[in-house]
Amino acid sequence: MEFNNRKLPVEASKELRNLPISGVKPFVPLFSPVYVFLPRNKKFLSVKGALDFFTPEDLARYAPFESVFVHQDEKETLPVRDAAHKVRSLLKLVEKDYEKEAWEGADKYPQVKLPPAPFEVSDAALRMIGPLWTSNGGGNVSIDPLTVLVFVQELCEPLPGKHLQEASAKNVENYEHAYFRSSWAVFLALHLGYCEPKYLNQLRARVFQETQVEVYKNSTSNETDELITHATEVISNGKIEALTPEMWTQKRSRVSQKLHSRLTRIKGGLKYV
Amino acid sequence: MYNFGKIPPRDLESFGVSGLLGEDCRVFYENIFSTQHLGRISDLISARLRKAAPDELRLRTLMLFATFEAYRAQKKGTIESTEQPLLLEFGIDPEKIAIGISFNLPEGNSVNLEGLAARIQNRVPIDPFETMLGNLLLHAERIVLRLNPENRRCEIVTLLGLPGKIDDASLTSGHAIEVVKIEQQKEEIPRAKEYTALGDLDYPALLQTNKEVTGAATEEGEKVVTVTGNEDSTELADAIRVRGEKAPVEDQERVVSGGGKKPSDEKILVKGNNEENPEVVTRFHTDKSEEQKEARTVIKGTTQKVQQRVFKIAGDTPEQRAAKADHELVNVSGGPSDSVVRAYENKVKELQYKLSLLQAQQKAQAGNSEPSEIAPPPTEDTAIADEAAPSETGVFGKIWPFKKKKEPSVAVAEPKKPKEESEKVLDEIESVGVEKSDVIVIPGEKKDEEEASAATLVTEIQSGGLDKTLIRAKQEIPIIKKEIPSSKAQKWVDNLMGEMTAEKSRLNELAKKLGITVRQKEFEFRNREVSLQEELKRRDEMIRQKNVALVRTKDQLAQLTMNFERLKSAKGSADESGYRQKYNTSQKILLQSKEENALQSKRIDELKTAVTELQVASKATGTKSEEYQEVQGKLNQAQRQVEEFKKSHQQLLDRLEEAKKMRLGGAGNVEDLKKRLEASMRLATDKKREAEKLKPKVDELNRETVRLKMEMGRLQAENKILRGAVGRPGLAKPSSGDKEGSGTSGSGSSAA
Repeated sequence: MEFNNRKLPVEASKELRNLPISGVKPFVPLFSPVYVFLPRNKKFLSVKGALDFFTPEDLARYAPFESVFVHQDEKETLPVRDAAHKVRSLLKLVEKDYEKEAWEGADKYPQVKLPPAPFEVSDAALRMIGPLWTSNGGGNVSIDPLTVLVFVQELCEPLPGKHLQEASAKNVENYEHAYFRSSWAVFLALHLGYCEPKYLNQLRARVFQETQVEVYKNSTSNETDELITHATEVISNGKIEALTPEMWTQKRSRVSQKLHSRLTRIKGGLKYV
Repeated sequence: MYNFGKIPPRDLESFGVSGLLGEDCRVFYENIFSTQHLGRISDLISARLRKAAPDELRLRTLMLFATFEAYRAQKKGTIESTEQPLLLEFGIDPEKIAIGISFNLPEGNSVNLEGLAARIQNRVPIDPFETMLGNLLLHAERIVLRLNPENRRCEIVTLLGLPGKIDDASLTSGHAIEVVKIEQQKEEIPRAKEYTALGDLDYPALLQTNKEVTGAATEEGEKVVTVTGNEDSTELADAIRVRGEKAPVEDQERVVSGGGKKPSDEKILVKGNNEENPEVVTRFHTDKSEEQKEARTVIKGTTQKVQQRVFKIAGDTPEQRAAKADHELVNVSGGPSDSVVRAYENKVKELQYKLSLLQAQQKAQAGNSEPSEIAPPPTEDTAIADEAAPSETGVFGKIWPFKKKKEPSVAVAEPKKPKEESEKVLDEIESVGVEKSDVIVIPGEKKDEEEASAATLVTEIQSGGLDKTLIRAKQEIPIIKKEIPSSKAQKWVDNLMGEMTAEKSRLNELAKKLGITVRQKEFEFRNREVSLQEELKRRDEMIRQKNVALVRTKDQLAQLTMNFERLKSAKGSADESGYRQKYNTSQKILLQSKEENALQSKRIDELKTAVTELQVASKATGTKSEEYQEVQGKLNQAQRQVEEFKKSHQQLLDRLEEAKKMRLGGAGNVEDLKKRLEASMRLATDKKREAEKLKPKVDELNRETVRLKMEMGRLQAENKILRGAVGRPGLAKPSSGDKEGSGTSGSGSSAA
């Protein structure tokens, strides 16, 4: 991602957030340019661009600076992160925590506890991600691509560092598109009721890799393939724009019809059909 | 050629059930990664299609069987979660239902499509997959198998005709199984009227077994459940509307869960209240498995305003009970009104209980009859006792013991065992031969009855049958005496009459005493009632005040929190900007003082040079005037001041460095930083002030230096004049100090 200000004056510290180096995880892309402070020059110097990530070597190199600075985005992204954490705990509940809870409370409640059914999880997930769509007035809703990125990064496991490094070294622009596209695919899958963490992680990694090698199957026999095709259409090369439900109004594929119905429910205030 | 029903398939060669159904079709779908919740999915879908589906069990069988078999085919028999989900689709159009399951065949598995349909119809399968299809065909009316051999994507769609809607001829004609090989899936498939995820359905309402039960209000205050059937071909909908509006006080409906071994479904319908002696109706419904039993007790008094309260006991599903419990929790946490009402009710029940005890004692004293069983005061936890026991106590406590001696004595339900007690009541009613639906009429208000009874007793004694008998006996006794010859018998008759008269007077006395006692008790009860009512009012007012205070405190707390947060944020930003400004200002001051210091140093150096020159000159001239001494002293003083300036400058620099370090490291608290900054600013101001004070001195020194220079020049000039005079004859010899100079100058001059 291109940005103009490689150096910021010391007065820019108002807009920056201090991030201790020890708290930065390797291979986790940050959504803002990253700066270090040069005390002699009294300037902030950018060392990483937006969507770039730190390798362990980078972290060792910048360790003497003790902290790096990023743009303050915490307040803006807090609801998104919160929603992602909720969905994550919901999906984990489906996986194992629920069983654990049932086991711990077995003495108190001897009856067998069942984890929530897929349709219940799907409904709960939609209720959590529905508010991320912002109203544009007139009953229209849309969502910012960066919101999706933040959400999916908080929701899913980090992508393998090796893949990120290879992709970034090969072509930065392609890497960024792959990152966007994989996030979109996961986000759409969640809307369609695919509430299995393992599946979502695999889907993300798959889309990321396929975008890297520029393999576009354009297959529709499998719903997952169809989903990837849709994500590819939304995040085509050189074009990242806000997503609106109207994108699927005219299409007649199975995924588009399903997405349309679910987004219509979000538009209608998440009332039951 | 595939044909099933009047509506032809719109697209056979694409995945999805919508291609096999009409344009009005609705499709419900779900993705599953394991078979863990298939039962609940089948519950939901069968509830959704209940009206339309001809045979719910058949629908469930098809769905479960096909899904399990598809899962087995995909996972080769393991029960672990699959990586690729199974896609379930349930489509319905005006004449048929389609259940589609899409899955991936594992690698290495190939399906021989050649003659597959014939093999399955002739029941000669060659592999487990074909066996599975054959088994499915036993339950379905049509099967459509779609397969993409390239990526091994498979879809099995089983179809069922809707009775009365499907064309009968199509059930008997055509192939039972249709095999479609898909080379390339089309991007666009026939549009369904609606695609609905199962999670979008109102599953909480659909999965309720007893839809008559009113649930807690939803967020919107209204819950609308649409159940699609197939009654007509266009809109197949049935709506269940459950309103969450709060019922008026006079018409309350509550649902409480009962305990006991056998869950009963009891209704206690009570109309009226205790004070106004209205009509009271008690209705008991026992378990459905047993014979329907119903008892109704109607206590009629004056026809006044009638209030109705309905209590519904048990009969709830666990989900409903949980939901209600949650709802209650929310209510309790939301505000104190419920707890206040509960406390109030408990208090009323307690008072009623005490009143009934007193009434029973009074009855026992007055009428020599056994007091009826009084229910203990209701506890807060018992669901039924909360509502049922007080009303029953009130009802049965009003039965006057003197008049209805032959009426069945009805035991009052013990609060903690509602069902058993209700059965006991029914048994007792049965034992006295009263029909369960009989109506037992009981006279009206107790106080009036007691008074009336006491008065009646006295009247009856005085002017009733006994008095008449005695009068008649007195009239007839003289006639009988004449007829009886025996004097002994005559005496006996006289004694008997005397005893009867004495008994009459005794009874009179007793009746009077009873009347007095009744009045006393009545007076006591009235007093007590008034005091209790006052106490209730007082407590009610106290609770209300406490509630108001609580609400006010909460508001204040919220306001305080809000203000605090606002102040915190405002203060934080203001402090930060203020510190930055101060920091910048102090830096500027520091720079200025630094420059000034440098300038002063420079001037001091110049002065030093000048002084040195002067010293040299004075040494050369050999003159040490007092003025020079003074200048020397001032110079030393200026040097000391310069040294002090340097020290303070160094201190300022050190502090500035410390502040910078603290700032970069992010450590240290704001207060400390503020103090340091203020201290450094004070120091800088002081130094600036001192520098300003010293500035005139420096100027004076400069002026003095200039003056000294001028003096020096003058002295030098005089010196020259003197040397010139020495060189001329007749003048006095120069001093020893001047010898060297004079020699040098002399040589110089001679040389010149």
